[in-house]
Amino acid sequence: MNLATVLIPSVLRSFTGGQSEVRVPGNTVGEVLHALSRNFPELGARVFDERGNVRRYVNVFHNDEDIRFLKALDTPATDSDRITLIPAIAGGM
Amino acid sequence: MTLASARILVVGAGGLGCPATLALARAGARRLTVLDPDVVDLTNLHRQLWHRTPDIGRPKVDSLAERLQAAFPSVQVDAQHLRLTEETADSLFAAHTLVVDGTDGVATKFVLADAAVRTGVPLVYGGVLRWSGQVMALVRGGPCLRCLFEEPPEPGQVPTCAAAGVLGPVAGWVGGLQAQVALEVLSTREPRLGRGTLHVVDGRTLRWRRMEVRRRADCACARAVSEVAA
Repeated sequence: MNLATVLIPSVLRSFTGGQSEVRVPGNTVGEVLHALSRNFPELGARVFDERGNVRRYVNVFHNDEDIRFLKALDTPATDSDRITLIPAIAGGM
Repeated sequence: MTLASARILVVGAGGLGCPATLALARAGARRLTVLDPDVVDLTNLHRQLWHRTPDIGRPKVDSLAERLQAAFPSVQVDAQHLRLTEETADSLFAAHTLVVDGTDGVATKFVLADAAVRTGVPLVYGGVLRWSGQVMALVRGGPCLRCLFEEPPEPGQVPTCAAAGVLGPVAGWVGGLQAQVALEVLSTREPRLGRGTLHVVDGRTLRWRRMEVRRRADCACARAVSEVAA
């Protein structure tokens, strides 16, 4: 099983105990993110909807490439890969 | 079009709008419209650099315009104490050369982004929260905000600055970056900093990442462009 690195945005870091990077097992982006959700359920609820789909206001990048233009959650993940979560953020005031 | 003659609309006179207007004025922008329905609050002062303690309770656009014009007498500031809405967005965009998003709320950001697609007026999207910031230029022919995020979250699912807070220097960083991207969009037909690039900054790790954003073939912006072409 590979161990990919997931980069956690600061707005979601309270759900990972403040960790900005988490090493997570999985051979695909989907496996990595579901393992991440099992380890950090509150974070998982913000990434996946009730049907298990990535929420439409959250974007997932695999080494700076949007996974929707790769193989989505089936995109292969290796030890050297970095998976980045980019949620829509509201602020500006 | 020169920077001095460009009409730049900054929506929001807060954490992003303040540093963005400062940077734009310093760079040579001379015609700024600033729109904001809010009044100055004590909690704004650590990051909204044009407002001071005696301004608490005043419309933000008034204190911004007053101090910006005092610092840069040649800059014309049209201060509008009102909220941009879906009904007014297109006419406001059409009256300007470029728009800078300094709003606080995802739904409003999508209103701006959709107006940019309909009118073809470039928008420099920005968002900031706690330690994080995002910036991307939305220009004709490039990806739109819905190419990136397919729909806005339900109200309450994503906190605002007002609810979650923001580190003052991060807001200054992001607002300044928005101004820089705006300057590039105004000065070249082929912007490299902004078009199709989402800048993600993290004030906690000082990590800055550039993510390539592509147009989605099934996005509403692709349909809007084809309708205009037809």
